[in-house]
Amino acid sequence: MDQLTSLAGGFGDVLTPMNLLWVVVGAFLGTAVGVMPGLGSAMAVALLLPMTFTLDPLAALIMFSGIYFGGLFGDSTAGILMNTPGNSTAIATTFEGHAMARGGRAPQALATSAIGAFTGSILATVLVVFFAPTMADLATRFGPGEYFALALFAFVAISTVVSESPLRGVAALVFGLALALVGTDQSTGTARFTFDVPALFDGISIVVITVAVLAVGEVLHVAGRHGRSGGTELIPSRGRPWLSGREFRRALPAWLRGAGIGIPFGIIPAGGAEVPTFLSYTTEKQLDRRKEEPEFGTGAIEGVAGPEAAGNATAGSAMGALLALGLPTSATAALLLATFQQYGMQPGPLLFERNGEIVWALLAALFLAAIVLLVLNLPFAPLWAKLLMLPQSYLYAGITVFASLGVYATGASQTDLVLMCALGLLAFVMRRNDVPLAPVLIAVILGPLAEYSLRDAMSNSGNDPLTLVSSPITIGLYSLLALGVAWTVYRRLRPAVPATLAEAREQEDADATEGADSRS
Amino acid sequence: MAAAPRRTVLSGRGELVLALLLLVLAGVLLHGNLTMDVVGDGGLLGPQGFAWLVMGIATVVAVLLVRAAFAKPAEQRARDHAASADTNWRAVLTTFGGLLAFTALLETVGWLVMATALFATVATGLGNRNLLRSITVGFILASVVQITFSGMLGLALPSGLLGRG
Repeated sequence: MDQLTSLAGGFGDVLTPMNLLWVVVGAFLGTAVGVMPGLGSAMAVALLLPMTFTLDPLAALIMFSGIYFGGLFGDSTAGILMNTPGNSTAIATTFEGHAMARGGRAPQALATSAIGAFTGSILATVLVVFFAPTMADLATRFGPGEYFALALFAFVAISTVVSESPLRGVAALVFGLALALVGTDQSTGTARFTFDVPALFDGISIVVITVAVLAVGEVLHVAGRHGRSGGTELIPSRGRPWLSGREFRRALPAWLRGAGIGIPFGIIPAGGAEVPTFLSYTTEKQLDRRKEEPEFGTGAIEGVAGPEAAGNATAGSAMGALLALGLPTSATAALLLATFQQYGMQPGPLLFERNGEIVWALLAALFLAAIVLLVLNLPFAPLWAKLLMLPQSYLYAGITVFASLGVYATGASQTDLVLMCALGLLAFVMRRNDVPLAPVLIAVILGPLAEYSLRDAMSNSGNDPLTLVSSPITIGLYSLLALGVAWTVYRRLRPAVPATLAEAREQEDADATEGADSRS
Repeated sequence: MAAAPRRTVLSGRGELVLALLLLVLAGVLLHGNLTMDVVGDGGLLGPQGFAWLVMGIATVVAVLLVRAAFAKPAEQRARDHAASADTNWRAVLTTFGGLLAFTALLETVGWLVMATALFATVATGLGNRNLLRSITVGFILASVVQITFSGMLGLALPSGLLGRG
């Protein structure tokens, strides 16, 4: 039970008035960006990262833990009340959540989603507390071959298995890998692709890339869509957000199932919580069909409870993979990795030994963040929805100003701003062509790991390529990867399953409308 | 949509833009690798090996994208074309212009003026007609940022014209 002692120590570090304030600030900011359509926790962390330069590492990480979960708490609010999910992770919640809101049960839908997010976060964090040190122990036996396999696994998983179009996924990956190559070569000191610009000798900062790709790309995308999409209507949430005993008894198993589905996905580098939320939604729908009176389409509480718990559970266990293996499995995790590196800490097997105090404080902060978020979201969700009244033009103008501030603040260099413009434009072109953005960030983060571990593996073994498949761990990873690819090919050859999330959504919208019609 | 969008051989084939960008990227990597001033012995792969690999993948993906663009069914093409023609270019260009101006002038003109201008440009680009109010809101935001980040957190923001004046 070493973990419990360490965790208690972590709570001791976090439970100071100042650190509690950072938890609340993080939870507040996280919920706010989560509620806003199109903004996620990755962007919030990217924008705030440069501004934490003057904070001590613990304060920054504590605040980010609030933002990390907060983005997932907030994103369903807009989905439930306006049918416009705040983020891709809330799409699955939106189907039944909005149907519940239309049926006059908006407060219950918001409460179910908040408790679901809480359940998922807490369960996943408990597992991280117990298993992360074991995972870290295992990972100390990792050599360059294993790390190369992990990075390759992440690349292939995010660009082909998860992505809707493997070709576009790989294209995104290539842009990211190329960006990661810029700068001085770590092992020989050779200047690579710097075009003799001194500002590029240290490489391109992950903050610049993230802000440009996520924030600037999003602003340009929204500008392009401006005046072209239909308006949405906000359903007011009136009444008390309490669930009846019957509702609670129906939601509880769905919360637990959702968390169960979400947790394993955090460890797989598959780009975050989108896939598990949909899996959970589908599971609940299948279970619902077996009932005498299926409720899906008319606002089934399970359809809100499951996906919401799954999303946060994935985020929670992704934190475990980040801390123990140094492996970011989502864009937000990648930015937390950058935060650690900014303070000279390297997540991975040695983190628990070298920076144990901070890790346990961070884990304690995750528990506190989940509790603070529940308090902020359960009674006040309708208030958060008021944020949606903010004029879109001011919202995005504000994001642009903060994006530019964040980028300039990283290095006080005009070169970074030029890069921001160029990469923002690239992200805009990518979004117009349905190219996923997550592989870019994963490639930027893991590109150097892949490259240097491959080079190390080669030089350690006298250039014997078989060294890459010489240990059980690497063989296991490559087999898993082959299975994933095989499954993808199989899935693509069976058009019966909705091929894209968008199609699934359209279908659900149609179902929901039918349901509403038949009721009236 | 009022009028049917103009159709050319390129319309509805957005993949080609992507393929072009990938080929440009491959070109840059090729040029960088050939002109690289390699220091010391980097082993089998060296500093260039990984770049050759990325260049190769970029080229293959570009070729496959071009193939996919021309193999696309007419129906899908029409849908893609309609989606991409339905773009508010004026808003995109205004917003991007604001960013470029900010980038070019921040260090000479200073944070307060340029951040206000950026805010007002983007707000106007996104259809806000009340320019005076956009400027006011932008100025308040820029000032608050200047005070909090420059004053309290010690981030250096260029003061530009206002600093010298």
